[in-house]
Amino acid sequence: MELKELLFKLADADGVSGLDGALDIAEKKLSPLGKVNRDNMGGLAVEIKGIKDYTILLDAHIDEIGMMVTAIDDGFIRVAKCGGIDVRTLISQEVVIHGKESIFGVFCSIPPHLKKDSNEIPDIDEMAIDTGLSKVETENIISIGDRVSFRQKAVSLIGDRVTGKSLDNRAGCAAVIEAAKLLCADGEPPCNIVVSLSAQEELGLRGARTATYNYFPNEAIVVDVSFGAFQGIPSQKTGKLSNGPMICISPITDRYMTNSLIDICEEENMPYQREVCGSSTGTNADIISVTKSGVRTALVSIPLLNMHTAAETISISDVENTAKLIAEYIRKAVK
Amino acid sequence: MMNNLKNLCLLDGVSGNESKVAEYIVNEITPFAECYIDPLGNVIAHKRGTSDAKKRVLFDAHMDEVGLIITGIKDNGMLTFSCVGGINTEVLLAKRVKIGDLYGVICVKPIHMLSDDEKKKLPDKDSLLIDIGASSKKEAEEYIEIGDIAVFESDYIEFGDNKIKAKAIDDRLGCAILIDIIKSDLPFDAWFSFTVQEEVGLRGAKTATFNVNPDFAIAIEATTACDIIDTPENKSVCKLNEGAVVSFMDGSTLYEKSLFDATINTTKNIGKKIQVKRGTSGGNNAGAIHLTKNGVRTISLSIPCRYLHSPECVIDKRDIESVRDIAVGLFEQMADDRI
Repeated sequence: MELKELLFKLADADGVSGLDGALDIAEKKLSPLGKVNRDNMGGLAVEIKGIKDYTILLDAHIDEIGMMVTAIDDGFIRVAKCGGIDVRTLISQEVVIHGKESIFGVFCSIPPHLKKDSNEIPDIDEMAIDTGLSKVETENIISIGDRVSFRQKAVSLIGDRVTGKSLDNRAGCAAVIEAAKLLCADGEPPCNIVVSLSAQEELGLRGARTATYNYFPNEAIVVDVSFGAFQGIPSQKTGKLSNGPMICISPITDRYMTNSLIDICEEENMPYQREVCGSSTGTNADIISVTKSGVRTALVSIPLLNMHTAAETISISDVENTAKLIAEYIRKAVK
Repeated sequence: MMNNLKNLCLLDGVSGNESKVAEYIVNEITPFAECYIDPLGNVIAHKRGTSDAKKRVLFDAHMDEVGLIITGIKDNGMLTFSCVGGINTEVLLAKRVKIGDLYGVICVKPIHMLSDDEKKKLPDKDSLLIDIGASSKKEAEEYIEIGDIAVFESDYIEFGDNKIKAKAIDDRLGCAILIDIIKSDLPFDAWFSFTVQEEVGLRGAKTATFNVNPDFAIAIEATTACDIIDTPENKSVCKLNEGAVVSFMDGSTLYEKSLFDATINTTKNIGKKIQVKRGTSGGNNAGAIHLTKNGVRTISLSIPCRYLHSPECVIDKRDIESVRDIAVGLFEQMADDRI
């Protein structure tokens, strides 16, 4: 399955802000569809000319959470968070340090035989990564500021579930790329489409701000991930994996677009879930909608488990249905 | 030996489920030694040397590793589990496991939805769940039975300066060293036990030692090295690339002084490196072996290993030879009744 292959390639690629691996893969996929531009922030967009002079921007952030080197101490390095990484999961986590070469490292742990009875989680600056290198070698290869990413290849669970690093938000990237491909499959799409794989979302919705300024579309649809249903978290704030895209209803998302997305799902018998936010959404929709004189914006999310860890888990059917929903929306909305 | 180490580490053999490891070992040593599997699953081997031994010497290494066992299936298709052997909660969070051919992940609540207090505390181990991707109990039951074993998913990787990272180095390295000794020419007859259930209370070594009835035993192990940043020198226990580790005492054994001294002298004579373990934490099969029948004169030799009992054990290749050669040097004196 082509979508699955794309998703795996995107998830396995390096994309902590400042690394280009995921951009390179996306560019290869998107360049047959139109002119690809990389922006100053580390994002990428493709402009696809359509029949009608009306532009819909499809946004998915391409950056992933990760870390940056803050200190080198013998064969050990210290890191700071680059995005809201779940620090609880770092102990015993494998990483890749992107220095002059990419090297293996692992977060130190204290074995049970020596550990004091404590269930406190240390701060990230009290943790360290073991590179196994001597002091001199470490300093030759690694510099302060180098990016550090999780070392975790995507794999299939049972059914259509996939687990790996950075599915937040390569799942969204795969969905918008797939939507664009669906729309281009029968020739020129009904309107202009900009697929914007934006940078630095995890650092504060930054790349979407400048990209939207640049392309200033008539409408935007943001695809991101949201919380999958899990014990101990309020069910009304989650979506169930494999139950379809989560269509966001919130004060900041456009009611008309949102209703249209829901109507399409109802008419076409496509699976969907409603996700209600009482204020902002914590996604690029928050910033895209207030760019320049304003952009009508909708938000569609893919439910995901273990957010901001190396064990992010999604259902491929949700990615596929998100792509279909967006394609169908653009076909119907632009007449 | 390095090839055996890699293959052994990648095999799944959580305590009580060591048969794949046993099979591999039997296959490796059969041309070189007589061997059998005892009722608990220990592999016991006898290797002929150039001469009969004056004293019977047993080399021991355990085959089992720490892991997880599935205890239940929730309505939502997620699995509950218990740890087999000592595993800290913090090395489990968001880690990947394998249950047979299936992948699973140990789930965590999203960090965004935790209270400030929850962010600072580890979750209760009993609350953790494994997700295999099932949407319902019914779907999970098609793949999983209660009592199935989950192992850490961890590649064998050589990295850094002569370092190896893998799961189960504790104590597949001991197994690899024993295989290597069996394949070499020995001056005296020797006995070997590849034991089960060390991680759940030194159980296999009890019956294996009873069977072999040795005069001396050498337990080859992996022991805690905490030579990592932020750990004061006096708490580092032992260090990588400083050679084999010998203890004067640990949680299960007070080592015989004359054997301890012989170990240090042997090391000097053969020009290898040894370090004395600073601290008395932990324990190993020596604890069971030395109390067998009317008592067995026992020493243990270990490789220093960082991050023991996690998916990410780290050793230094350069320490392996010290452990092996000191063990063989001691064996020759023991078998010849010179200690």
